[in-house]
Amino acid sequence: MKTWLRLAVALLPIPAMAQIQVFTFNGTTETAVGSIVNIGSATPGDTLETRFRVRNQGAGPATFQTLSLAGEGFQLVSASVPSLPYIIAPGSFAEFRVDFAPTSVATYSAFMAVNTTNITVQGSGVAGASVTPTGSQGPLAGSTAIDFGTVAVGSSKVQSFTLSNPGAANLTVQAIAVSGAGFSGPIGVTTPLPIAPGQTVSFQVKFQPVTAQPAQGTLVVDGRSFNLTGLGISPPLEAVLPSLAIHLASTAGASAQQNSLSIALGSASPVGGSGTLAMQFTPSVPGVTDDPSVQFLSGKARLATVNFNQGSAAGTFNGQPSIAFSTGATAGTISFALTLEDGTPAGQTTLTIPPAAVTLDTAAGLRKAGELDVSLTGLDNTYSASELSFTFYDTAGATVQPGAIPVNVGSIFQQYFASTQVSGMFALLAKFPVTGDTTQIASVTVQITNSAGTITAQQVPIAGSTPPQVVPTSY
Amino acid sequence: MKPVVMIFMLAAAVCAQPALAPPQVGFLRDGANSFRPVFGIAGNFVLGGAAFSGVASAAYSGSFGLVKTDTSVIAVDSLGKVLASMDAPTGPAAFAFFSDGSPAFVYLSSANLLFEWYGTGFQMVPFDCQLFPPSAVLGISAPDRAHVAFLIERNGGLREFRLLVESGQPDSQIFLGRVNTPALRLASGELVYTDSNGVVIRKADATEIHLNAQLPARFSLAQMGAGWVALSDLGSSVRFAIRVTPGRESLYFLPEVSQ
Repeated sequence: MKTWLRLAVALLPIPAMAQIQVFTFNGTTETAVGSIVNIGSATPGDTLETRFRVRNQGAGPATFQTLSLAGEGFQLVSASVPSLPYIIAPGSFAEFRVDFAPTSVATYSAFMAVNTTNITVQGSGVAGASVTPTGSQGPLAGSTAIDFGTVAVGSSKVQSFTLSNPGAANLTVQAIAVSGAGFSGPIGVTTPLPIAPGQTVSFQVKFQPVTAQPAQGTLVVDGRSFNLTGLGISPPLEAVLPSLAIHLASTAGASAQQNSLSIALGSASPVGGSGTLAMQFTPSVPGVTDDPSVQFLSGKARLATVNFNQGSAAGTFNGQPSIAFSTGATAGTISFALTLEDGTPAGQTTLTIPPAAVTLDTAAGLRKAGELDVSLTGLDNTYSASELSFTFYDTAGATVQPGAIPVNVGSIFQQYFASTQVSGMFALLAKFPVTGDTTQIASVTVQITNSAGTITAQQVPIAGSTPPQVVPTSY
Repeated sequence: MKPVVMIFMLAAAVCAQPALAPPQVGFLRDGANSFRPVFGIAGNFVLGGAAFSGVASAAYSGSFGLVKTDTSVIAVDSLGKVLASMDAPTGPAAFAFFSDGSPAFVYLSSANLLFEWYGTGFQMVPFDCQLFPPSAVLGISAPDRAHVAFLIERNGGLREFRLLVESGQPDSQIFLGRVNTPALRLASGELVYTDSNGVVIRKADATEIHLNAQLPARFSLAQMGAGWVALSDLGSSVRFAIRVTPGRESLYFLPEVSQ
């Protein structure tokens, strides 16, 4: 023996012996290996795979010269062994894997030699239920990864497993645990769980990713670990939209209103995205095709971009939680339709503007020499104003003769509405020649009628005025 | 004895009289620095075509407009038609109208010059330019035909210096309190300013109307019509219309020029 050792030492460069160190590696942590390493337990029929690393801890290159493993139940994974001799740069490593596949409940050991380092590898064959994923050909080997595949955030995938007792005696599964962000279970089973020979029991593990990232977890059955993997991805925006709602600040439709619209999601959006909110107006007035004063009050007149920020439960319009719009001056229906950036329709709502009696915004009377002017501004969202009536009152409140003065304005309103660019809005100026002392006329009451009704502007004061006189000059 | 008043009531004659036109709220300087008419009624506005572009300051009384471009001061009528103009240095201007809507004064802060409107054009009004620095002038107003009032920010408060137009000398000074700026004094006597809750309209009798609103961080105020003030976001093209007509005070969005 001594002769053999001397020979081996003589064959290897001296630095190589001191620089090489063997480790086990669990995927995240390296653990230095001494003369004995216990790689854990596996049930008969399972395979437990262990990763070893041969690390060069010296300042110069080291040679990974030889590797051998001998012992029942243990096997080098040949595909993992680098072509030897293998030069390892300072600080670097070479990796190989060892499978432990016990055939019975017993203690196993093997001798592993890495260059001149001899290591006793130990493992245990333990009684246990075999774990078989549904759809798999056979039971899981130890440390095998179960891949749940790609799952959208907000969705979930359930994988079923079967526990079976391949032995001849009863066994009891003491603990089943699932860990890792996004993984949960076991579902459908409780422990301790006795399993008779030949009996099978099913349970499930759920993967519900919380972020759009790769996820890792662990399923542990009586100390045997199985890796769980999955990939969380961003769901398509429409996946979160069933709960989308378009809210109008006021659902009471009326002309000449400034309303606003917001978009709420039932919960915080797991992803960001955007859409386009299109406004359309369908007049109910015969012969009228549109009203340009039905418009958004920021950005484009009939289109708005809606942004859905990740984590927010509401859409935003240019950073604002709502967008204002004006309801115009025409009876009809305002429609809003939200379309996502991929063209998917996502929601719609409507606001009906019913026909209404004329609305007056301003009414004023002006006294001039030999004349009274009555000016009105307002809107007729039916485009059907037909009758005006003026009644003047003196300073004592008495009606000035001849009393109510009716004026048929149907034709001039029709002509006006047919040509104006401001839809149902109008400014009307009525001039009344007067003889006598006009200062005695104090107010006027105006009635105006359209197809939806009659409104009255009561006792509009008549003011005296000297309008500014300006001589236009050409430049 | 009751005075005799007779209104001609011939139906044909009266029917011929009513005239219809689009209602005009006024004019404003839009987000693209164009001077354009605002048609419509309260709550439902339509912007008309631009009358001028490259506008630095503008105001409209309801019957006349005053516009400052890079090189000129222009007076316009209700149709946006030029009535008169004069050369002016680059920079903004403050405008004042008389209560009947006619143009009154133009103040060019970059040159510290004051002009008055004489019916067909502008003429300079000498005044004591040592009274306050031009940078302190927030605006001007025309309380009456004999006075021009400068709205001045000084020592954290707002003051109004009234000068006699004829002599250019100070006549009186009023402390308006610690009022946030910008502020605008209208010929009708209202002082429009803002506080943390929105817009405040202080009437001539010192009573105040508050209009709640979320306002831009930086904005300007300008008269845009009879009883209307435009509040312009200096950081965007957002514009608000403030109605100051007694009993009808309100705040509205104005539509942006559609892109």
